[in-house]
Amino acid sequence: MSEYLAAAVLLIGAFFMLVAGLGLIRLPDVYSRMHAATKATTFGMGGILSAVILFFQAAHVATHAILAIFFLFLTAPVAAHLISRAAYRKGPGLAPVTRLDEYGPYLARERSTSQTKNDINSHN
Amino acid sequence: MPLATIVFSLAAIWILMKGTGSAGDFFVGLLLAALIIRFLRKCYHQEKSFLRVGRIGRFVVSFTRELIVANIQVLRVVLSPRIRIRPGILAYRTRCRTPFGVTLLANSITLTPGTLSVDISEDSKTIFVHALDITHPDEVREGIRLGLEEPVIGAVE
Repeated sequence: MSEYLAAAVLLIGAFFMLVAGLGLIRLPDVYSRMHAATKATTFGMGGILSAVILFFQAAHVATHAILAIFFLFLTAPVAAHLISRAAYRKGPGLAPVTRLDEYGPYLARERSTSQTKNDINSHN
Repeated sequence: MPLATIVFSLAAIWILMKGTGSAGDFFVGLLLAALIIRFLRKCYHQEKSFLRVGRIGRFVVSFTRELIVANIQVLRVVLSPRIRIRPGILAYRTRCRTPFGVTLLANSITLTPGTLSVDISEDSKTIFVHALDITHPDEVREGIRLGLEEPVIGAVE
């Protein structure tokens, strides 16, 4: 019985991974794509790892899976933050559909006030 | 967080990673945790009580709810025949004051509906948030304030 439950949860997880992949292709710019790449993948991986827990029903498997979910939730937003930040500073800009940008003016001010801090590397 | 809490949670994570739970393992975990804390001591500063289980629970509940809503929303956007989004970046003045609070808030923003933290200002007071639908910037701000910031402040500040 729990095998069917595990299969269902596994499918839901895999489905959200698919959505994340489609999002990467269909959305217009780096920032919108990061939405798909962080939210749907954490949810998808959560589903897949939950299915692992349900299928094996062993304490040592469960603890590893729970830890993996925990660290994924911790690291995915950090990665998304760094990628979008680096993208804004160095790479392609916002998609033409973008309606509002309050970050650009801030960045311009920051660059004009401090010459040394206009590079990502010098921030670390 | 008090140092004792950090040491014990690191030891607990060690036990979980090993997957076996003997007393000896826990002792080894405590030793390793103490060693790590010894080197990173400057990063932690002592503060108030950590008996906030209720508020932390409330944060986890509201975070989980937002996470599910976020995924349904991404799902709707991605699977709709025509991508209709009005994205933009807005500045969000945060009332979180501790570095841990700001970090937790920024991470939660990324994992919840339609919003993504792009950067934090030099003085850690403004979070720049990319949103998929920015037709009403103040509604987005209000959503962050009520759904995430209040629980974060309650839980860790």
